[in-house]
Amino acid sequence: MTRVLVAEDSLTARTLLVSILRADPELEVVGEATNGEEALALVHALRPDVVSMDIQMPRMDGFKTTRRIMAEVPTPIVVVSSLDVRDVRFSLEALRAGALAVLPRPAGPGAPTHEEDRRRLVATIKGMSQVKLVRRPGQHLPPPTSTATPAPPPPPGRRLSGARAVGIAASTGGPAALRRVLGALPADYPAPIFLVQHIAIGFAEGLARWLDEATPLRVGMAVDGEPLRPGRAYLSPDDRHLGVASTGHVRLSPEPPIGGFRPSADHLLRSLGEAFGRGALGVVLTGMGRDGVAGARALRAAGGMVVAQDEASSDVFGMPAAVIEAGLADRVVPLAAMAALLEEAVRAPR
Amino acid sequence: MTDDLARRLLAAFVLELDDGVPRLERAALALEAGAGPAERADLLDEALRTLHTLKGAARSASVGEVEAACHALEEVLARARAGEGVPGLVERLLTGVDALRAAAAHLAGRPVAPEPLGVAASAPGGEHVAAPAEPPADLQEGSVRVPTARVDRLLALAGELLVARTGLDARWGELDDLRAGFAGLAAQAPAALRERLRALERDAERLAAGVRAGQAALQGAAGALEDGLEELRMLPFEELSAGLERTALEAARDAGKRVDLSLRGAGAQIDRAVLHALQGPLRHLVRNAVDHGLEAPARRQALGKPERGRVVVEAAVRGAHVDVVVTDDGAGVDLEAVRARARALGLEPPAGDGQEAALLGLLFRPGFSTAPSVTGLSGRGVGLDVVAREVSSIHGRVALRHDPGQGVRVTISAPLTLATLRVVLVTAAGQTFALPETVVERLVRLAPGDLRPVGGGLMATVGGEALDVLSLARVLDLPDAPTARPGERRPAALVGAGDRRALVLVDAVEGEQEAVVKGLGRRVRRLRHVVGVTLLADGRLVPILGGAGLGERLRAPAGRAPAPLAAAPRRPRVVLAEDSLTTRTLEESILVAAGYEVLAAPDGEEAWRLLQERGADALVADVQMPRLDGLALTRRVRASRRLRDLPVVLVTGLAADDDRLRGLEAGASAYVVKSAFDQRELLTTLERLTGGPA
Repeated sequence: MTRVLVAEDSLTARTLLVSILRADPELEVVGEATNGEEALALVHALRPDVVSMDIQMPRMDGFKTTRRIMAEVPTPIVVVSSLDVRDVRFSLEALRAGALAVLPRPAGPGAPTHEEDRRRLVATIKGMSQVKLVRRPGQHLPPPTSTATPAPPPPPGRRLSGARAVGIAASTGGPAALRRVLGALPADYPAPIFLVQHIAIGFAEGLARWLDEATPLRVGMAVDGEPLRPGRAYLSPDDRHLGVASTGHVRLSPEPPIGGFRPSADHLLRSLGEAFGRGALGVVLTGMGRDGVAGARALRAAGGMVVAQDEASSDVFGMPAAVIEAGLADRVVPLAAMAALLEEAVRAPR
Repeated sequence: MTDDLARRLLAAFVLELDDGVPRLERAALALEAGAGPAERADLLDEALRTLHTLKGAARSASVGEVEAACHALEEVLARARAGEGVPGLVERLLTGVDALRAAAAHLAGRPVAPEPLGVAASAPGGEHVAAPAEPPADLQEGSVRVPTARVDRLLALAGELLVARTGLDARWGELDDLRAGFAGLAAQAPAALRERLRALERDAERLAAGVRAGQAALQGAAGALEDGLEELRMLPFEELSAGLERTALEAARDAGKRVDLSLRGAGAQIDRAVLHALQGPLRHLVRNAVDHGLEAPARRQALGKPERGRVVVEAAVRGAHVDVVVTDDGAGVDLEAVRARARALGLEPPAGDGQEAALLGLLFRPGFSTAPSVTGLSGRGVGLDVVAREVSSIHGRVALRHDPGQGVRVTISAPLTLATLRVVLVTAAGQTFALPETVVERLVRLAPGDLRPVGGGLMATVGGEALDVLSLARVLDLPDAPTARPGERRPAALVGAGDRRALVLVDAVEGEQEAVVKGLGRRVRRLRHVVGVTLLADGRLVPILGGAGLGERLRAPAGRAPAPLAAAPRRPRVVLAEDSLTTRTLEESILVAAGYEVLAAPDGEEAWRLLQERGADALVADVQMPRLDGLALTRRVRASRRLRDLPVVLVTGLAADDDRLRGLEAGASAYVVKSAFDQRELLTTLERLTGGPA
């Protein structure tokens, strides 16, 4: 039985959330909080398996509450937010503070998307409740000095060089990780960067903006047919596969979801391999599931390179682990070393 | 399951709307009142937060229109917040507020009239609003949101508790008597019994003491509980301020005037049901003050008054009731216009002593203020009769005073709470009735010499005021059989209900007590002068009189005057001429039940014979009869010297104007059409003509 705490100040929204969650036999709503302070107190008191967190609440908003919870009693948190610009920003900050996923508010029973929203909420809540968190204070916030714990030395791996395009795939914990990596890259990074982030529909635009603010690179939602430029990062838009045409343009595809995902990491990495061959560099960051393994295989077969995030620095060591276990990772590095590795890969000549 | 969920979501959404809409309104009004930039930013932020929450709630409840409306309003406010000039910002916000309020009322199945207060006031349309999901406790603050229905139920239970306690008090009295009966018994008893009696005496003492202690404890606990529960129903008077400010603002805009509304006594704690009921009347009064009371700005300046009119609404708690006074500094009431209006309505304008009070009293009659108003402006005011009615419904009273050229002062008195009522118990016509304390101004004793016959009724002067004297029995349409001996002083209550005041004679005053008010329930047909029932300690069910219906009955048409104190009973004789057996039997039984003596005849000739031989006080005749019809009979009566002045009532199925005219030409005193046979009309007419049975 998965125990859930619901934090939501609106009575109506709370009624809906609780009703949806209670309807599932494997979920038990053990508490309801109407503001951030209450949520924190209840997490301490009840130790739920997962928290559904509203972002806009009185007393202490969802972002601050997430920080406190992750600092004092780390618990998987799913942020439920409206799609207003301000709310999306706060939600992404909450992700950075340690929340695992963000979802839009489910529509009420009368609405056409209700069933799907309901399923997605339940699936996400259940999924995130399984994530084992380790108390890592300040993990995702810029460290005041260099990392507190020294990263283990990278396993001996292939030397990376000659990268001409980079594809980064991430899922749970991805937004914060992406922000960290991109934030450490210079404005004149020569290779175009493609980003596939599994996130609920409606959040891509906010995510692009949020990432853009954090890096000298220009981050934007990918537009079909866009020419590729250096110093640019292209984020997969809602519900489309991101790829690249051999002509050197962005290609968005409405093909069916792969492994349940659209955008799919497999699609991106395969496409990069086809277009850039040995110059393709695929990076698989934190995330649940196995999206990216098949794509990594194709990319390597075409001569490209694959990097996976290490376990210690991953929020969820699912996607990277799958790639590593399949023997497809040329390098396995902690998040802190990722940006440096990307620079090395692109500067070192083949 | 989904239907149940949808209903619960809607109920929750209505609660959130009821909470958020007043906040939006207050922010809008504060913006209108003018605020510095920092304050403006805060107000806009507050409004934006509220709209955001409501938008999310609307989404959860699948009310797309409201979601979209909130979003649209959010955009407008966001632009203003960003520093853009937005024309008519407050208008748009207030329009939005109204739309949201209407949406809430619609979703809750409530009538879309007065704004809900704070948390949803007692919603009449209960079926549409299912009880919302368990309201969670706010751990930090220790405050809880509770549906009003639950509090009301607890109050009802507390009321039962009060009744039970009252009964227990009576039992205690009996127990004490019993104990007293035992005391001293032992000393008088034969030796054999003495010991046992002494033991019984001690037991009785102990029991009595124990019960007394238990009773005291119950009194303390239950009393505190009842008080606490009653307090839950209380809201500060201030809850009405936003609505009244809004009304004043809009009325001023519509009328092209400027007004400052101020509220005093904002902290007075008043039962939410009373507050809710006061909303409508107060808004009417404020609207009237602005529309009719205040002069146009130019005129005010010419008169040396400040350009902005002043309207003050003040609440003051006096013991168990509250006085709410609405004052304006306008022109007062134009008495000449009132007289003119009275004449236009076919009423004789009051003259002589007390005419000003009587003229002001006319303002409360239906049809007075709703037509082109008494101050000459095109009537936008709402009738004061509506105000009187609404105030009566909460056992309140309303009175109007004016200062010519200086303004008008309207006072509404209402009980602080409706759950329990302090009542005066009186008897009349062999039954006991309860009169709410707010309805009874004072109790007096009237001697026959105090009564003066005036225009078909009786009047007396009490406290320098001349008042109609009515008998409670007659007011209630009960047979009046006064138990006082001729020449004795009779108790009377000075009763004010709605806008009417009168002295009401009763047989006896039993006392005063705190009564728990119970409704009559749906199965009893509405009696407009009975507002509830209460259970006395001895188990008697006593009706509580009051309300608009009582006020109306205090108007004294002839016939409500009490029987002269010393006169012997009389049964006027009526000759009834009607050829249809059924109708004749029916009419006869009606007349006899009303106290008349009836001589029935099947045709005009027989009726004529009876009139000649036995004489009568009145003739009731059908028109269409064999041998001698009603018209001919009437002419004969009028031609006879002896019977010339006999009251003649033609009761007929002929309804055409011609027929009526012919009847009156023949000399009939009155013409009653029996197609929609209403005994009341016949009886009232007869009473008017004959003075009625004693």
